Amino acid sequence: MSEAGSSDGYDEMSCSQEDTSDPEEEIFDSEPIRQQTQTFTVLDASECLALAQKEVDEVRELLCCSEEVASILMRQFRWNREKLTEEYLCDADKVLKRAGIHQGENLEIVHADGAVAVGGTSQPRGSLPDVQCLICYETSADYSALGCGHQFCNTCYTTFLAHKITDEGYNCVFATCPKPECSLVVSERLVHSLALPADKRAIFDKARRIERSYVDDNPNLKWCTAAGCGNAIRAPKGHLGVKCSCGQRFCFKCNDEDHAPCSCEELAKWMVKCRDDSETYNWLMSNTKACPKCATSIEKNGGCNHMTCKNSSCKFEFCWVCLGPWRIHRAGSYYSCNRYDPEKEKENPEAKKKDSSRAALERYLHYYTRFTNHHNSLKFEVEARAKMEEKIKEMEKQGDKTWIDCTYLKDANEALYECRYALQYTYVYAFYLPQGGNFRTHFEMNQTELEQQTEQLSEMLEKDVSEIHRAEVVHCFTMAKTRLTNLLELVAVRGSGSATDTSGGAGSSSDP
Amino acid sequence: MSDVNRIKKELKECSKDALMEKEVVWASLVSEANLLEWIGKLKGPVGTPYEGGVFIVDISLPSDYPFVPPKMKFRTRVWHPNVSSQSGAICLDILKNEWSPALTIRTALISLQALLSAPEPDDPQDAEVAKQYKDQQQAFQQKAKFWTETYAVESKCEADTIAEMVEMGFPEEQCRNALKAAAGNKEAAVAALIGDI
Ligand SMILES: [Zn+2]
Ligand SMILES: [Zn+2]
Ligand SMILES: [Zn+2]
Ligand SMILES: [Zn+2]
Ligand SMILES: [Zn+2]
Ligand SMILES: [Zn+2]
Ligand SMILES: [Zn+2]
Ligand SMILES: [Zn+2]
Ligand SMILES: [Zn+2]
Ligand SMILES: [Zn+2]
Ligand SMILES: [Zn+2]
Ligand SMILES: [Zn+2]
Repeated sequence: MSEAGSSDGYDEMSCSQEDTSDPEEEIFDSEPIRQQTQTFTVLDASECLALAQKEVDEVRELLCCSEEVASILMRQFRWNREKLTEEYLCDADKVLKRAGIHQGENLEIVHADGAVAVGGTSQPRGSLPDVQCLICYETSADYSALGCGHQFCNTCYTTFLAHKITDEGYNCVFATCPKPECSLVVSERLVHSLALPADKRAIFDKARRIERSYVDDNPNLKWCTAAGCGNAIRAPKGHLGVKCSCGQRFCFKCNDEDHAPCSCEELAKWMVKCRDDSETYNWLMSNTKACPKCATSIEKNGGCNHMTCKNSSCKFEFCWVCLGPWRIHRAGSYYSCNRYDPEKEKENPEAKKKDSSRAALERYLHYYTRFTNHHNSLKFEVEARAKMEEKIKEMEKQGDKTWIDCTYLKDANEALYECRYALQYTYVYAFYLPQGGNFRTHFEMNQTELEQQTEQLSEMLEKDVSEIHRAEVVHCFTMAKTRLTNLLELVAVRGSGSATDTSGGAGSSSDP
Repeated sequence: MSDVNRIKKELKECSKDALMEKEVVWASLVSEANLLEWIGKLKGPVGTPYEGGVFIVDISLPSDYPFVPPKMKFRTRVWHPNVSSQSGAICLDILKNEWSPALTIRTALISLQALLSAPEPDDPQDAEVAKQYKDQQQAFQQKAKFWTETYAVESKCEADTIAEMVEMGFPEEQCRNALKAAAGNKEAAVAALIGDI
């Protein structure tokens, strides 16, 4: 990307690694810095198990039952201990029967190690009398039964369980004896004695783990959505964006990708809208635009939106998004590239002819352009980040002492990602925000600040690693993070309805 | 893969039942060539607004039958909280999550007949019917009875048509099924019967 780094007001030669003075302090510290409050926690599998185990142990002592019975009961009662103990003390037999726990004589028939165990007593395989299976109606001596003694041939029992596991997923732990009206829950022993495919058996075993149902049934807990990650996230009700220690970000409410600050409903509406209108705006995705001054074709190949015309006799610096001159975009300036200004559109004589549906389209286009642009920048920056990290590793390997402490660059990249990521959704949020009002003004102000800070950070990190100054970067990304926090908090306050001074129509949303 | 042997055995049981006068449900294949498409019939339970009617149920067996439930739908229009008055779709637990492979088409039809005696308005298929059942029991009874008389009682005209077809040399039960399948069109029903032979 062709850019003039010196035009940003940084004198790179005067910056040293230890320099803590900031050349742009007066711009940066215009807003009070708030402490980022993390409202969610990450729990690993063993922590989840410990929490579940504690509950089971308490129930086991309270009801004087075995651990197995206690865990089946808790699973059945969806970890509602009060309800379980109340019903159990009232009618224990009824609760046990309904939970599918066997009482009375053990008539179980299971196969293991070439023998068959009837009611716990082992006898040679093939020593059972022929019976007719109530599923396939064939007669055979190869069958199994739970403690209730209801027999089904091994082939049918296996198919039956395979279906339960495939069709019901983790709910397969609630599968009961195939005999209608028999509520006995299938046992682990039976499942393991049958020739189920390994993947099916693995699902059953996973489903039986108490921490699985403990997390599934707890509204404040959710499994991380990354494939293969066994962590759970604990967050209060209504919380949206969370981030697992594995790096996965997702929405705690809808399990979709993290979309703060816009709501799940707004995201869903937006996605439908974008799908419907995408054809028309495909050109926006294109990475080539004409320079607004000399019409030279300019290719965007970085995440930063500060463009400089590559035509050496022009060198016009402009904003990729609105094609306006870049000088009005600098941090601290009054221009807001983010704000949709219908008045500005009206100044255009051609615009006067436009009807209202056209105006609605233009409005959508404004937000869509910015949403898409941040989305695309994100992709570039992820690539750039990978390259940078590789370079750092290489430098470290070479034993270059100046590169030993580069963790701040990782933090800076992470902050850039977070800000850029949230910025895309701030445009979805703004699109659905009612027109006018103090809240909108306040929101757009915060959005401008975050955007300017993010662009500045993006630009800093696009430089060659050898030209990056630590103090500048650290200051810049700390500020960016603060601005992000401020913006999210502003939105959270509006969402909670506690902001009475935000006359932007708190709680209401319009779909233009 | 459906269990052909099991389906054939069910069919054999059903044809035995068909001979018994006091039976309240019957089931048979739509055509000999296809073991997965069945037609069921049930008598409206005595003492209900469905009394006197014979209700036809379309049954289709999924390829995984009996490990998944049969698909059942009333062809005869029924005014009942758990049956769609528009499509004949049925809300019955044993046709969904409570299905067990040890149940059969016949036992499912018996459960369906029991559902006609004991509606479950709190788990409705048709919200409008369920609302009437709860709020205006008398109006519900009247409408259900009217629908039974209109849609589920073999009309004089139908009886005459079946008699004519029997004279042509087809068994009565087959004539009735073919006529229902052809929605009362005698020519189409006869053509279907000839096609089957
Ligand atoms: Zn610049
Ligand atoms: Zn069997
Ligand atoms: Zn299945
Ligand atoms: Zn049983
Ligand atoms: Zn994770
Ligand atoms: Zn969401
Ligand atoms: Zn130019
Ligand atoms: Zn740049
Ligand atoms: Zn701009
Ligand atoms: Zn604009
Ligand atoms: Zn994406
Ligand atoms: Zn239902």
